[in-house]
Amino acid sequence: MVENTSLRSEVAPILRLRDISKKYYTRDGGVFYALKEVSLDVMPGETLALVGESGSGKSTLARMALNLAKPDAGWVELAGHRTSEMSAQEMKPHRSKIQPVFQDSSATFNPRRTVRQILAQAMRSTSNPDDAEVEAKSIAILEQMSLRPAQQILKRFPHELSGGQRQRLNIARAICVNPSIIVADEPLSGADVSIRGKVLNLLRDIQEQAGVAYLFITHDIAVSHAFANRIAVMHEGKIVEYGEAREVVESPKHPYTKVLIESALLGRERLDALR
Amino acid sequence: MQSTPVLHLKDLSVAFRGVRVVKGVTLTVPPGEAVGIIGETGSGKSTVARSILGLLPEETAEIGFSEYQVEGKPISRSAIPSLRGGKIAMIFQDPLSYLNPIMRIDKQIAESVQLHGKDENVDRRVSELLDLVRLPVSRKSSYPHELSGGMRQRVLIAIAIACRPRLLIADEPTTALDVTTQAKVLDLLRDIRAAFGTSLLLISHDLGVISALCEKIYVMRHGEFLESGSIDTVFGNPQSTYTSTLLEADRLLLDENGRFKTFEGDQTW
Amino acid sequence: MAAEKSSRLLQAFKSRKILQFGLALSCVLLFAGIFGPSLLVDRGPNQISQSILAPPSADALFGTDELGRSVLTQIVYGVRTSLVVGLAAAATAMTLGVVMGAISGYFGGRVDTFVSRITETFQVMPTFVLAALVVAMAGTGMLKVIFIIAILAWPQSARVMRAQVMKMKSMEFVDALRCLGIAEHKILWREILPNAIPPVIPVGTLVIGQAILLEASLAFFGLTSPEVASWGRLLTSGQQYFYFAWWLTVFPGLAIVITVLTFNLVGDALNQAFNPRSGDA
Repeated sequence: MVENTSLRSEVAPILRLRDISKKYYTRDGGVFYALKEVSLDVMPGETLALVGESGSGKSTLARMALNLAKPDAGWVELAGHRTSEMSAQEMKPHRSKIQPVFQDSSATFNPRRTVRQILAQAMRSTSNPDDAEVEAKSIAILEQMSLRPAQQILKRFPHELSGGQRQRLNIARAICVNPSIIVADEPLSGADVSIRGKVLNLLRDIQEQAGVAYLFITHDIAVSHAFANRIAVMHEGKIVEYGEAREVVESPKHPYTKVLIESALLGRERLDALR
Repeated sequence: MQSTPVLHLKDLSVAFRGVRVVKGVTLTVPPGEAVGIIGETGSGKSTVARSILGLLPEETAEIGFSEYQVEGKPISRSAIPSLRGGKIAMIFQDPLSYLNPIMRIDKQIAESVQLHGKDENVDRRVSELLDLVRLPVSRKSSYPHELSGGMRQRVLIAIAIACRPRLLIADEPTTALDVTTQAKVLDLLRDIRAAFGTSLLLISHDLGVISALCEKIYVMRHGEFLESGSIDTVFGNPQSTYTSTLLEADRLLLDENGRFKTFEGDQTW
Repeated sequence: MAAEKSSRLLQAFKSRKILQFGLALSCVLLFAGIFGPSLLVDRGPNQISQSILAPPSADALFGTDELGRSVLTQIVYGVRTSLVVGLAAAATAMTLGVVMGAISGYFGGRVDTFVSRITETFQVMPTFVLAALVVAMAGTGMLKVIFIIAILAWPQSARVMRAQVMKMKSMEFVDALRCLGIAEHKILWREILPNAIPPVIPVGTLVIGQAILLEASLAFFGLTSPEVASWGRLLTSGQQYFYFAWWLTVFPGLAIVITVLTFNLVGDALNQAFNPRSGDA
């Protein structure tokens, strides 16, 4: 974390979100702000956890970062390029720099494509590798994800994989275009405790090897504490607390952060007492 | 002398199309106590909960047990459905699919009251129940889709306790809720238990949720109870490596290489 | 999901007698439509025999008409017309419906409003009156009949398609493809479409029955070409002999009922297989 602080002064952020607002008109004519003047920076190679409950706006913000939605006000900058103002055509060369990882569900992959097709499609979207290259890289990535035996996995359809395997394929699809930052939207939601640690270890390995940054979107402040360098707490479309992970969790300033931590500790004080 | 358990189910086995998912488990819920079953996806915990009230699909599920007693009285297989909503009530992870989407919630609660109550003043009982589950009076004539997830779960709880059951089975009651809402729903369950002496059987994958409510737990994996006993014994001094690894993984402990402690081997994922 | 779905279909096929029955019947019809006329080559529909208005017998199973032609032979020739009109109209309607529904559902906004208004306009039109009007104005001909039925029937599949595409376009895998910079039209046609089409098939199957019925109705009123054999036409010509030669109307009538029922049964069974909740599951 000390390294990160020193990094921040010299290196430019990989992702900058500035004064982002998104409003919706309610049926009775009122205005509802899903996001209100939200600003965030993600540094290269760091993990920033965006913590909030459902409806806090965290997933909307993720969609803006990925340029799947445009803000009403404010801007997004990806590796120095204003992506929020780009057309689909202008955005294309920058797409591979930022990739999503979603929570595991039946909607994460096209049910009619095999693992081989899913990975090949991702690789071919940015460059024109030949079949042999695609095959070799697919196998290498599946091995890296310990999806073995890779040759067999390549032939499978997503529904033929276990939940944990599918989650790794999700990560594999993202990293096979060598992104600089991954936006992970609740990647652990629905995963068992036993799988959670494995996914986190895998994400950490990838970060160490490839220097990828994570914008880690989660409702779980305990995981954020353990996994992220910094935490931003979102509540009702605003960032209410933003700082080093340890500082935010160990000495929270905003009352909402305190409630969040208290709720996460529920029942666990008793477990800790037993230790 | 031990008091008669609310529920005693011995050697329960369940198979779906010949695949055994519950392999002979014995479950006892003492009166007024909160008992938890903890397990991960596919452990068979929900199947256990559902077989107590005979809620498994009859065409595919084969259920077997050697003994089934409710408050000391033996229950035959054919009598199981009559327990529903009377002696035993149940709430689920996803309340929306258990509520009638086109009926106001106070009507739905009233239905449950009328179904099981004798000569009760229905209106008074409904407002009593709404008050009990802390649902604002202003929301009482809402439709289910107009309510938040936490409120819907409160409605389901009101319906479940309308008939004053002796045992309330809660299958992952807070899994779909936000953490702050989760705490409130758990508080509510705790209060109901204290106020009416209702026994609770809580099914969850979440160690925190189980520890917040239960005295006694069963640790379930691959269709079997690995260990059982008071929470303090089981979690304080776990006998199986599964339980101890679960505890470590839950706390996100790191090993000497700075990696999150978790289960060995590839087969678990 | 794909394999899951096909296994579900297979299971539905095995467990549903209606689907088996319907498919068996449609096979018989198809066989009759394709091979029937060539098997009867030595006695075409206009082949005249000695006996006029003869009741059903071993010689002519369904009897003969006022010119001594076999009713059975004429019905067999009519199968081809009915099937060609039914299948071609349904295929055209489905293609049109899939394309329009997909565009409307995927692009949303004004495109959607525009397409939705068109589908609604077509849905409120009185089908038979419109068909009769067009044929009366533009003249008879099988192609025209097919075209008019297709034009009137496509909104049904368009609506189902639109709902499917709207559901799928917000799925994570579509977002993942967008994040790879894959063009929107490629996502729609190559990724979403194959997943969205299956539920449209039962709707298309139902259109076959409607088309056959409409063709028969038009023929009954003499609004199709007299050179083309048609069940509706058999009904009209048999009408005047109804009191003493019932076989002239009852057998063609039964042919229409059974054929339409067949395709409706198949459509219904497929519908239940694709949407288990709407059926008896």
